[in-house]
Amino acid sequence: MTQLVSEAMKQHLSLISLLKQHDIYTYFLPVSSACENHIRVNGKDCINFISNNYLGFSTHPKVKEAVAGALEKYGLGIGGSPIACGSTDLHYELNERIARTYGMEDSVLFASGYQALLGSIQATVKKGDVVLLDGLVHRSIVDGVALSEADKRMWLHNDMEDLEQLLERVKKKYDRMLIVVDSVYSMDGDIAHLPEIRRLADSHGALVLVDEAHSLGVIGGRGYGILDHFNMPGGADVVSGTFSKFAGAVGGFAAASKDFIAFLRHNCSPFIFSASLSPLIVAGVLKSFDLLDQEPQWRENLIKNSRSFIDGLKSLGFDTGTSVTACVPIILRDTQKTMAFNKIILENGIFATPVVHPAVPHTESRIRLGVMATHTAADIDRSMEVFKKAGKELGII
Amino acid sequence: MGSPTREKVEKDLYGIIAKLAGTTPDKLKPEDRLKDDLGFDSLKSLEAMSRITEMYDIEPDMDDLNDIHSISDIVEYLMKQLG
Repeated sequence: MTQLVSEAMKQHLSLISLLKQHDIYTYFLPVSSACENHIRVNGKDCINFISNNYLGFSTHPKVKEAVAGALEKYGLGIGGSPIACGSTDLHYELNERIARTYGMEDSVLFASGYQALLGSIQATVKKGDVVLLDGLVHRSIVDGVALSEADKRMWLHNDMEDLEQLLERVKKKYDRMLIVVDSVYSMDGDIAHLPEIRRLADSHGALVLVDEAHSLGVIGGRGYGILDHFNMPGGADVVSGTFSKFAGAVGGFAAASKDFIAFLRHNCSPFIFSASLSPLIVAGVLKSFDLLDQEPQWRENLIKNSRSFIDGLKSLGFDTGTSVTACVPIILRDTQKTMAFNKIILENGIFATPVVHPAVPHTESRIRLGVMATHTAADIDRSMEVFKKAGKELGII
Repeated sequence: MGSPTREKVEKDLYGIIAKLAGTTPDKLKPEDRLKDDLGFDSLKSLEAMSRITEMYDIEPDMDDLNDIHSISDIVEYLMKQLG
């Protein structure tokens, strides 16, 4: 008789049990407070470095007020998909706001960032096309290619020579080529070389899709992400992203030309077969866009805190790789040391993410940290003390 | 033009794998497994196979690829296909 939990599944579960036995399993911990610079985890107050709520907008008083107003007017949800049940005036206002932010003609909202990437790719390519992926793109992008049934190829992370060679090799075999990059890479915190990617795409007849998950609100003169950062209006054919980082909420979007978005609305299963984003989220995200323009101090704080954090870690002797943004890794290159390091810092009140094999190769094992605009100087100083203690105890620094 | 020699196939393959692994060919061993030893994810493993089969103009059968784990597995696969 077929067992629901197969031998392969049992093997996987035994690894999780082993981590729990050694008291180094720190995933899915219960949180009993709001996502602020300090967070209550497992009943203990910690400095929050696990979140992507970079600007701290999810708890901003004006956001809460906007959400309360939307709750009063619209209730919790629309009760179905946008295609069947319609969208509120708030949804249309957010569509317009996102399109304007990216200098695009129109945009569409998704229930999650994951679905936004799945849907954007599914709408752009099909069987007979090829998607060229940077080696470190988010999993949603890889899954989006599978859903589209296009072929997938990868080039070495941010290596423009490798991308150019790949374009040369594959361009005669396919109808359409789509280059997909993360604007800011979630595990390394570095930025895609968009000007060169655009140049290569144009010279080889490829399209460009950027995932703005970790860049919207973080980079660019106005905080509008990678096109703003490089001053490249029209630098991407499709811009996709999420509200889970910039607004600390949930939901995603795609922005592009009017015709492409009209096609997507009628031909994209992650959009058509999901319920519409809650009006509460939409109201909060709209207010977050207002805050991005009206309260630049949050972004200024984020930039200042990120620089201070990276400089502090480097001065202690840690390897932070190529990060120049609010996603900061401490690269330890050893799975056991990474789990032990995480245990020590959690015991000392620092909540962060250990990233180990199979998520990354053993030699790329790391602690992944998210800096927030709302971290105080005391938070950063305290975290450095704890990192120093853990680094010394484990012989890393 | 005849089939490439095993030596030539190994040299080409080690060059491709080393580039994708961020190392040099002399650091690789035939028994190295793409996933467990070199940390390749499925995307990188597929890219390694695509690059080497492209070089020799082979259309890989995806079912065959399920049995390929190590560098020596790839060499044997290529030699069989080129044979």
